[in-house]
Amino acid sequence: MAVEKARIIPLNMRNYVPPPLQHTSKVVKIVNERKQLPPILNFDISPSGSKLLSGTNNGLVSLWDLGSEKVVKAAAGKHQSQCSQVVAHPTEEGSFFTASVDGTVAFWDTRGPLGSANGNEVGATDITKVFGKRDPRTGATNSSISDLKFVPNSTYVVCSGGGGTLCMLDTRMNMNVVGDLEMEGHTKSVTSVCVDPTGR
Amino acid sequence: MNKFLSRFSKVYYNMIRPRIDPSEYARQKKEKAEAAKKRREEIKRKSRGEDYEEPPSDSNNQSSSSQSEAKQQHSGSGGFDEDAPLNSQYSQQPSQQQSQQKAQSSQIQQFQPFTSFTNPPQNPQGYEFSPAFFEKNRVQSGDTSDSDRPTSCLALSPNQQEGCVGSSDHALYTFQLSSGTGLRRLYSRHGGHSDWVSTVTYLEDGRVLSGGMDGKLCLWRRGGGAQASAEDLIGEQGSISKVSVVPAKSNIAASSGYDGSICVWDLSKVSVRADPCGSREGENNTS
Repeated sequence: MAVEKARIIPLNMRNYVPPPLQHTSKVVKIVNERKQLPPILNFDISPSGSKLLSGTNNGLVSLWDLGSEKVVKAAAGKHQSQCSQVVAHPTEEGSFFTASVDGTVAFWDTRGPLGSANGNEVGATDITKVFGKRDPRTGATNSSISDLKFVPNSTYVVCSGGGGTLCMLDTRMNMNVVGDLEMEGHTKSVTSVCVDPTGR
Repeated sequence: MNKFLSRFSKVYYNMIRPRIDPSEYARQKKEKAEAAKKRREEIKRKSRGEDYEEPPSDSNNQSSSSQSEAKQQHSGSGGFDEDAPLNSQYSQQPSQQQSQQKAQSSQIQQFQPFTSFTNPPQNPQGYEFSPAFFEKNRVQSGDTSDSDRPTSCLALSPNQQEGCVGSSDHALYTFQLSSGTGLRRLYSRHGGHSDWVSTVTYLEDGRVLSGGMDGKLCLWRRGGGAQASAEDLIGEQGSISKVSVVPAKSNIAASSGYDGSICVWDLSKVSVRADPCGSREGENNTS
C-alpha cells in the first residue's frame, strides 16, 4: 500500500515573507536640489535616451539630462495649469511638445537655449493656443487638451478635453492649425487619441 | 462650424427619419381629404335642416365611402338593369380592396415607420446603424479581467499580440488582442503591488513592467503559468505616475514619482530569485 508522502511545511515558514531585495538595479535617483518639485505626472524621453522632459501638476516643465545624471533645467517654463501630456519628436533629437489643461501646446527645442523667443511668458520656443479662439465664452478649462499624439509624417494630432473636438497641428508650418482638418464628432470631452501607424 | 452642423443635421435626419413609402403618404392624404369632405357635407346638410342620415355602424369607413361612391356612379350611369351591375360591382370591389390592403400592409411591414423615440419598433430596420450592428462588430471583452474594479492603465506588447491592463484591485490582467480572452492574472502574495496600479509598459522581450501607487516598480516574469511572480524595485520614491523604457537602451527604464523625482533603473542587473513559497502556493491551488 503506497502512502503518499505528506509535505510538511515548517511552522516558522508558514508566515514567511521574503525580505525586500537590495536595490542594486537602480542607477540613479535624480532630484532637484534647489526646490522640491510638485508631482510629476508625465514625462517622455528623447529617441537617443539622453534627455528627458517632464511635466508636473501645476504646469512646471523641467528638462533632465540622463547622460550626465543631472538636472539641466529644473523649471524650464510654466504652463498656466496642469501639464497633461509630454511627447518627444520621434525623429528629431531633443525636441519635445507639451500639452496643457489651459489649452496651449508648447514646442521645446532643447538643442538651443530655452527662452521666450517669441515674447511669450513661457520659456518654450513656441507656444500656441489651439482652442482658445473658438469658444472664448466658456474659458480655458473647457478647451483643455487631454492628449497629444504624433502622426508619422511629422504633423501631430491634438485632442481636446472639454470641447469634444480633435484638431491637427502642422509642426513644419510654425505650428499652425490645419484648418480643414478640424474634426467634430464627439458630443462630450475626449480623453485619449490614437493614430493609425500607417498614417492614413 | 455652421457648415458642419448643417451637414451633420442632414445626415442625422436621414438616419432617424421614418422610412415610409411615398405611395403610403399619398394614401393617407387622400383618406384625410375624403374625411374632411364628408364632414363638410354633413355640416351643410344640418344647416339646411334636412334629415340627417346616420352613417352605417361599420368600423371601416373605407367600405362605406366606396359603397357611396359606387351608388353615385351607378346612379350617374343610368337606371337599366339595376341588379346585375350592382352585383358585379359588389362582387369585384371587395376583392380589389383586399388585395390593395394586403399590398399596403406588406409595405408597412417592410418599412416599419415609427412615430416616437419613446416607443421604437422591436426590430429597428429603419436605422442605418442599428444596435445589432454594433453588437455584431464588438469584441467580446468581458473575459479580460475577473474583477469589476476600474482599470487605470493599458499597454500593448511590442509584437502587437498581447495587451495588459492595470486595475485598481492591485492586479494586472493580460489578454490576447485578437480574441479578447484573458491570459494571466499578474498578482502574487509575495511581491507585486499592494495598492492601485498606475502605469504599465512592456519591455522589448515581452516582460511587463508596472508601477503602482505604493511606490513600487514590479518586473513580472514571462513564464510561470497561472502563478505569476514579480521582482519588486523599491526606489524610495512616492507613488509612481509613469514608467517608460528608454528608447535606445532596452534594459534601462525611467520612472517618475509624485514626490517630484525621477529614477533610472538598469533592468539587466535585476537578480533572478527563486520564489521560496511558490511550491506551496501551487499545492494549495491544485488541491
